[in-house]
Amino acid sequence: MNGSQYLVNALEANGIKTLFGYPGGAIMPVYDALVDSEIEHILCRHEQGAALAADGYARSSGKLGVCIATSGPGATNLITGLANAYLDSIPVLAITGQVASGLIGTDAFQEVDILGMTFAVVKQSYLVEDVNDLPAIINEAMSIAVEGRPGPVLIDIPKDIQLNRIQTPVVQPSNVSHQQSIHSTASQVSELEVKTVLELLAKAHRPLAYVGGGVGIAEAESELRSFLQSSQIPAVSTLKGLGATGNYHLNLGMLGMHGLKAANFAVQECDLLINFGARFDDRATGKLNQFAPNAQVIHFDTDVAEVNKLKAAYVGVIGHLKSSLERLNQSFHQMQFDNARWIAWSNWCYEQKEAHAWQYEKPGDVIYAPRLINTLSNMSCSNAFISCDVGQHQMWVAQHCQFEQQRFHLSSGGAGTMGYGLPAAIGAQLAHPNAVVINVCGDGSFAMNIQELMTLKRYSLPVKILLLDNSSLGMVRQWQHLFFKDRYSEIDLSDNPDFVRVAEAFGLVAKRINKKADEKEGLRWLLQQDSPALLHVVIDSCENVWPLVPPGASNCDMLEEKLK
Amino acid sequence: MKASLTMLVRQQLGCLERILRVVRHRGFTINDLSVTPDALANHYVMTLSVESSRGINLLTNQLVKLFEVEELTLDSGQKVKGVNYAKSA
Ligand SMILES: Cc1ncc(C[n+]2csc(CCOP(=O)(O)OP(=O)(O)O)c2C)c(N)n1
Repeated sequence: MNGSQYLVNALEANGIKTLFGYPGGAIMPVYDALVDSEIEHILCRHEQGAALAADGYARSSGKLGVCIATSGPGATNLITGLANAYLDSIPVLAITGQVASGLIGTDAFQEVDILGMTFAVVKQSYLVEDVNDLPAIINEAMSIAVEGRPGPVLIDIPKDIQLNRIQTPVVQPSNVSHQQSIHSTASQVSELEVKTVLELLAKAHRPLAYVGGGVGIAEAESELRSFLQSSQIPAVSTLKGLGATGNYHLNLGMLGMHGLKAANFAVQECDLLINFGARFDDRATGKLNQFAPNAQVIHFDTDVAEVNKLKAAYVGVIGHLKSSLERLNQSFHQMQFDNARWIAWSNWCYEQKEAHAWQYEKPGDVIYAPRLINTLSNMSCSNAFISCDVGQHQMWVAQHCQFEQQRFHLSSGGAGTMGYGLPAAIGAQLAHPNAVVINVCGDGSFAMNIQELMTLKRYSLPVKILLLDNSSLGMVRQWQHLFFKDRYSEIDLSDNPDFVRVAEAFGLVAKRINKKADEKEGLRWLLQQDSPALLHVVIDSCENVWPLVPPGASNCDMLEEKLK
Repeated sequence: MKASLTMLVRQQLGCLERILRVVRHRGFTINDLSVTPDALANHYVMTLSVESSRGINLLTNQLVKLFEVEELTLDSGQKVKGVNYAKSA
């Protein structure tokens, strides 16, 4: 057995069923080994597509996503995908071919120092120097990717190592399931921490839960919900946290730059902010020193480096969120906590939520994107996956869709990678063959990984693409309008191609709508398709996302739509 | 703010670059640096003097996450990760 065969067998033995990749010179031995393997290799049409599809696979399922590329440009094309996974804590394993060991450092054909180039966007990385190191490296890499705070891991394998005989050809399935294990984080919640949390709760008049992506990653949604139900504490959520609270009536929605008014108001007013797996990102907090200005902070996180990084915590509870929340729930129940102290506050929050609920009425005959997205959410089944790209449409999805769990919402939060949506949808559809998978994209983002339409077609993946076409890079246009005095610079896309014909040329079925009266019918058509399909939606090119907190401003200074 | 720290680092390809990258990226400048192979095979002892407008915890909390960093001790004697190297050496 050679190194490549070992690698492929080891992946298989560890339960990897799907690989996203693209072949080339320095990875050919691995592709040769794949010929004899049960693993399904998905040929994406760009390595960035492969890396982002692995992210979508992992994000939607909680399982490790694996991508593979050749050396040089193949490897560098993966980097955006690795950065995307890194910034959103998604478990991805990237395998790259490298020039033969003896050629490393000679500027050989297709040699780039991918190890050196990716330090900043991986959780860990390896350049294999001896084929006999492969077993240990593969096991360690897979564990590191999924454990604790997940993230991407890279293994760079020189071509000679791929071909060398391996002395211990036994593939030992490691005992990790490549899904999060609660016991993986060593530190356990201490008595003292729980006691302090309860003391703070006992004194609070206006407690608020601030829910981040860490909850879903830790599969701690049901624990969080039972804490919220029993405490009746209102909650706000980050972009990545959406869905964690299910249909909890005191969930006020997303906070931050494009957050809901009720959510941002509640943060300003609360006197105790309980952070569950969020990281005080600037898009969520606005001006940091005016964020939750009256609150003491409790911070639950699996990553010690997040606590006190940006905002000081009165108490940090470090550990796996599932076990931390279980502990909290136990203690909370034992104490038979009296939450009468904050009932007035909870009621106030609920009133804010009602008072600032979205209005979907809009005069005129044009398609109103927020209403369309909300209708999509109401029409599609509760376990549909919605992936988005980046821009205004992404914010409309966050604002106007309801998610039953975090993993149904695939959105590039930390990196904001345009072109994420289509490959992510491909990954999600492969992880969940029978699920409804929808990609909501903008006309700018769609073009960034448009080549993956070929992947949809090849594997007959019934992904439904909802393309919101405002003939511009809408989010950038909005900022140029608001903060650069209408000096529009390179945002015009009015010479877009005919997207229906483009989609059809790739073998999709496609349809266009451009009138309010067609909104429902168009969506119904899209959802009924059982092959890859695209609905091209022409929307008003001046529509903006509201409310908006200007960069650097406090979350209470939200700009709102000026009615014409 | 100035601080010194000592780390026991597992020798693995790229480990020194990884550490120095974190130091730069997290906003710390290096005033002094020494790296010596430890008597234990496969380890370096790395001593760093750094300076920043940020608190040292912002750096040490990131460094201890690196898999090659097995022990980290501040010059104050405070052990941030692993067994206290200064004592055991
Ligand atoms: C790869 C990448 N390049 C540039 C940007 C900056 N950017 C953010 S939103 C945006 C416009 C997106 O346009 P479109 O996809 O049409 O969506 P819209 O905002 O119109 O809904 C741009 C250029 C980005 N986020 N990602």
